[in-house]
Amino acid sequence: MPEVLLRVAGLRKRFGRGHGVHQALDDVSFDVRQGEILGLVGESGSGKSTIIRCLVGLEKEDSGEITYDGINPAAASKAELRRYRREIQLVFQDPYSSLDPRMTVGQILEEPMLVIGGFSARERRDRINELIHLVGLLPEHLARYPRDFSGGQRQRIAIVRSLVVGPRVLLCDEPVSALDVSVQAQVLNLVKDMQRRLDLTVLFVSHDLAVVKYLCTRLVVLDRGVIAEAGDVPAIYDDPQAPYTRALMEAVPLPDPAAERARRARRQEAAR
Amino acid sequence: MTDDGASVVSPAAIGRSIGTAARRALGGRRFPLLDRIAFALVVLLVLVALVGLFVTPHDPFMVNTGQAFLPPGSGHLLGTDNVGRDVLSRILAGAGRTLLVAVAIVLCATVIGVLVASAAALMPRWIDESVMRACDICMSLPSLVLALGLAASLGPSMMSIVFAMIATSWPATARLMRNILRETLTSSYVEAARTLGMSRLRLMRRHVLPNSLDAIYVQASMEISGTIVMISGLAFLGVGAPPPSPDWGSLIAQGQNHITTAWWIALFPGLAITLAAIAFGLAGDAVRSAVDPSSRRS
Ligand SMILES: Nc1ncnc2c1ncn2[C@@H]1O[C@H](COP(=O)(O)OP(=O)(O)O)[C@@H](O)[C@H]1O
Ligand SMILES: [Mg+2]
Repeated sequence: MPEVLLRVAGLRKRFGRGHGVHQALDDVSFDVRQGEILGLVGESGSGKSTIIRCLVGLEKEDSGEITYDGINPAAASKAELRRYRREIQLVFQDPYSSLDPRMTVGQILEEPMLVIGGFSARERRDRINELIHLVGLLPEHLARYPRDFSGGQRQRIAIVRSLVVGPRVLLCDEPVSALDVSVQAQVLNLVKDMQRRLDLTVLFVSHDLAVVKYLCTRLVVLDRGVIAEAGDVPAIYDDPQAPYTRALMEAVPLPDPAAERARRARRQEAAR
Repeated sequence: MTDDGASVVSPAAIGRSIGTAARRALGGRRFPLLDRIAFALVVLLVLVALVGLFVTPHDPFMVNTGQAFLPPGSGHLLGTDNVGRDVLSRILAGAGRTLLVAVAIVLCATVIGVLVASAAALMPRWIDESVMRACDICMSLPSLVLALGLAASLGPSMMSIVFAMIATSWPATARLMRNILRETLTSSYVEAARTLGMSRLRLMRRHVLPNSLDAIYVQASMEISGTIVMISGLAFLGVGAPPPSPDWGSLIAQGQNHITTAWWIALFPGLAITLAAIAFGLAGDAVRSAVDPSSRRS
């Protein structure tokens, strides 16, 4: 079995105080193994983004421990923290808000290397050129602004931004859910392709079990801040243990458009 | 951009209504030519104001009672006042003491507001909130009352008006800036930079401020027009510089006793204020449309 690269143990996080308190994460533990694409699924509001945000330091967990390759970011030296930030990168959900509208694509892609430091001007240029080629962007795109691109192209730019510093782990927080359905598959394939070429370990967040089934080898199911089920994708799809997982599977779009339309109508009816 | 009810007579609100009304009167639709004319007028006014501080056709302060109450025309294009001073020269000399002072007030208030809001945003939450409460209190203070108080204690001078106007208008900018910052600071592109460990100061400089200042430029440019009107009003009430100051508010005050017999003494300064307020109002409006969020988004 491949070694564990990233470990989350006993993560707890609550938001608000007094009556408004909300336990977003309650004792969440899971491992991400070297080279895998681990799916993290759950309904909207189940705490998926909160886990990701704790991993990249945008939220501080109340308790629990994160370990990446021997580094505990909560008690890391400067050099360790720098390596942690370099090797774990995040792709945001919404590429319409994750790119600074006032910067050119070239500036956006160069910034992570400038902030992390240790890249020569030549290295920065070479890395950007190599990666934009891989994702199908053109050199002349570097002088343009995010507003000149479609959602799918923007997410490609965001993916390149996350890859320029040479990460080992890619955290993807629903990277296609803000995109047009017609380009979702392309971006998913790009993630998969990059994972293979660059030997990445990916934590892939989604609320869509069909996407996870296509992309992931293992799966963690999150239900209102608690892990409902975790295991290999085929095993869970064949025989889901938790009722919550079964309910989620029910919600997977059916391949037959007519059946899907009928079910959507039923659901809308029920929601009223 | 929200404008709350507390500051009913804020310079920005006055400037906005002047800009909108003027544009409506000129046909309502926006067309680039009008914007260009407005900008050209503003540049011209500022140049005239600068030159007028040093050079005028006649000495704006020279009393010559033999030449008093001359109507507009030969020798004195806009006539002379009750003690024989050239009205045109006094308007030109007063332009700087009105327009440049208004611009300076808005600049100071804007810089203070932006700095305070940015500093507050970097501070712990309770400091941030206290500063914003203090802004609310300052905003509820009418500038007229403050100016009268300052004039009473310091003696009437242009400085009383300047201090009162800055003191009452920076909090609105600070509040606006704080609201914008709140939004910008939580945007994903700022969070993306934060995950890399970018320092807060660098974050502010590189991402947050550039993306937050557009609305501030709009607010400031709308504010100039209203500030011209307000400082002239305060000067008219006698809060500002004592005679023989030729700032436009004082000129109207000095001419008001003779309005029926020598209308030109008060009318022309009044027209100057109107023209300047409209020009700056239109220019502010043009700035607003130039950085319109709808044209920024796509
Ligand atoms: N900054 C915050 N303040 C208060 N509540 C929050 C905050 N962030 C997330 N939450 C709450 O935590 C829960 C989990 O949110 P999130 O992790 O975004 O879920 P998901 O990504 O699975 O949709 C939600 O109920 C959300 O309302
Ligand atoms: Mg989420």
